[in-house]
Amino acid sequence: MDHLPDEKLPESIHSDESPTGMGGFLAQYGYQIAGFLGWYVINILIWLLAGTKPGDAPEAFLNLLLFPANVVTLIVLAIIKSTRRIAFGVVVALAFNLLVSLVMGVSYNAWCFIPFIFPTN
Amino acid sequence: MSPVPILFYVGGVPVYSHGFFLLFGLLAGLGWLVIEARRRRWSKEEVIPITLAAFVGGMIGAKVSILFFNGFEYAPIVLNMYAMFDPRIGPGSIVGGVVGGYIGGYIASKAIGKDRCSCDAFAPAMALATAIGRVGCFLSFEDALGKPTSLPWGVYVPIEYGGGYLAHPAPLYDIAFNLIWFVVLLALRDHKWMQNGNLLKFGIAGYAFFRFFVEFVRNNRLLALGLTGQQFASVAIFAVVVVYFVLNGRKRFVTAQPA
Repeated sequence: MDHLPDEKLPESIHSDESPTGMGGFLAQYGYQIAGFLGWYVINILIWLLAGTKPGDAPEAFLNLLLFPANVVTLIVLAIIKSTRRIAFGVVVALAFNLLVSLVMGVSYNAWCFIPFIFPTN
Repeated sequence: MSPVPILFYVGGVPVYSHGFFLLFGLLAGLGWLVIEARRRRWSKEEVIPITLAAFVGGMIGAKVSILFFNGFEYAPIVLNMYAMFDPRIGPGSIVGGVVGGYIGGYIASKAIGKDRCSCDAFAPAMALATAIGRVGCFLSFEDALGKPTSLPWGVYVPIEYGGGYLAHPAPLYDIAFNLIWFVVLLALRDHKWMQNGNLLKFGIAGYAFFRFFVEFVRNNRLLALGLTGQQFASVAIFAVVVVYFVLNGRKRFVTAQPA
């Protein structure tokens, strides 16, 4: 690392354990992978159980609840030291989905919230 | 000058100027961030989580801020989890994105136990990304470019784009400012007073200052007192940064005084 000797190193989002084989890999990145996959599993399960799908009425209560619930959960996971690595996995999942939507957005004429939604006045 | 909503086609699929330059701007900003992070010897253990959190926070902030800027009738869309990843819906507001990105990056910094901020690497990258992203806004004639003007550089906005008049090319003002601001931030990046997060705060405050004035020639919704939500947000951002610098400067002055 290119740090000065007296500079405090940040708490790593990676485990300190040395990886050896698959077990070592999981020990090092298991929480991050759990956060990444867990985000998909939990959100998909909720959507399936609620019987909603993309294109449903956007004002559906569950849809309105899911977004703030995701944000709050992520912040809580990031704040608690023992779940920080899970939070990193969740952030990667969110960033990945947002990046995919941005790449797909190149082939849609989507302006800043329009023309899908026009200001009312 | 005519609108150029579609740049080109790839296998019959249109590539829209707004989406293309938005993505290109973000990637260029990311590229510059990597260069700046290496120059600052910013370790990957910090830069990766902070950048990811800033990106997610920025995208969320850009959309959520629409509630404030355009009204709470947008809540069913803004707060819809599906809409967050719907490529048919644009990203939202840059002002909200800046605030959300800062909050996301701040939370990540604290989460990894960072006591000093290396986030100044973001400052020039944000200006560069905004300048490039605005090219798409201009080519697509977003928001009918701006308010009517009789100035010689006014651009005719066709009626089908919400105009029918010569308009201020507001995105070009944004591009010009951000390119100048990019150079200014590069010039200041090694200044002793512009370290530990100060360059980023200075960069954000500078954009907020500019944005307040450019909003007068844009077509955004008026919130109150003849001002747009973006202007209220710009005033708030600028005020917070000024208060921070004043308090920080006073603290430094008091600390420097002999006992």
